[in-house]
Amino acid sequence: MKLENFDLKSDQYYIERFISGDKSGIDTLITRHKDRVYTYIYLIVKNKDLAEDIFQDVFIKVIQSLRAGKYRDNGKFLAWVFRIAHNLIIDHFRQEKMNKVYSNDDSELDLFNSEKYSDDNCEDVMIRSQVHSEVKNLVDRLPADQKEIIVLRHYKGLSFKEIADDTDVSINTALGRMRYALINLRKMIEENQLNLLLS
Amino acid sequence: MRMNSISTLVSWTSKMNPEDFLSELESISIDDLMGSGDLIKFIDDSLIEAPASLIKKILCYSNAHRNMKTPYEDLNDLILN
Repeated sequence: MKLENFDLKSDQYYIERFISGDKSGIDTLITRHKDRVYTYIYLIVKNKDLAEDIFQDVFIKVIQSLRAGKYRDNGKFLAWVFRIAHNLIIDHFRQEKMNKVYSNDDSELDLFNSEKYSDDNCEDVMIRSQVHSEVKNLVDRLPADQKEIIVLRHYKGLSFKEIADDTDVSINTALGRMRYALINLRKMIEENQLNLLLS
Repeated sequence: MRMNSISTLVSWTSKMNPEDFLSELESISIDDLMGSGDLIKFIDDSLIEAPASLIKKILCYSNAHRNMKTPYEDLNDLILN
């Protein structure tokens, strides 16, 4: 029997430790629940690589939410983690539906075999995190119509045709907004002398 | 009924209608399944060990994390190129 099975302290105990700055708190929580969460994801998506990607996203979201104070203890930490996992799985299949690509079984061609984390070391992850943060801040400073088109195109993966339909503008208007958004973003980068290169 | 949905999803194959799959997925209430203990029992019956390398990466992220993780790489490339 593994050592953690003898640990009778509640999840909330480790959550509070993590929030108060003790990194081992999240370590314990992940170790305690990883197999169940991973198994759930894998059973639904039936693809090892995809399951790993979603699993990572789940716990990254958990970390972000705990740090942002978005989790309120009701003694149901694992249910909360499962809900995050379930929603991320749904997001994946919605995206898949939108892309009209259906197959992701291990036995077939895997179009979702993301290796985005495979070669990362801590420094890579930290640089990416910083760059993400800086780009997000820049996007947040764009005019609303330009920010909307960036979000729809780059974060939701919509085509310009879909964006035009959803926002009730012509494709040319959507393209124009994207163009101005990029011009403004480049300008802000120059003005702020930001280095957003991911080496 | 609800556990039937989980069973359906688990036995789903790519040859079946993906829209039905998504509908089934969306119909599931995790809170209900967790409350009843059915989901945990179902999972524990076929428990798979999560790869250790994954855990290291998440902890690494946790240490490096400062802000929200969002897929900014593509946009970043677009801005710079």
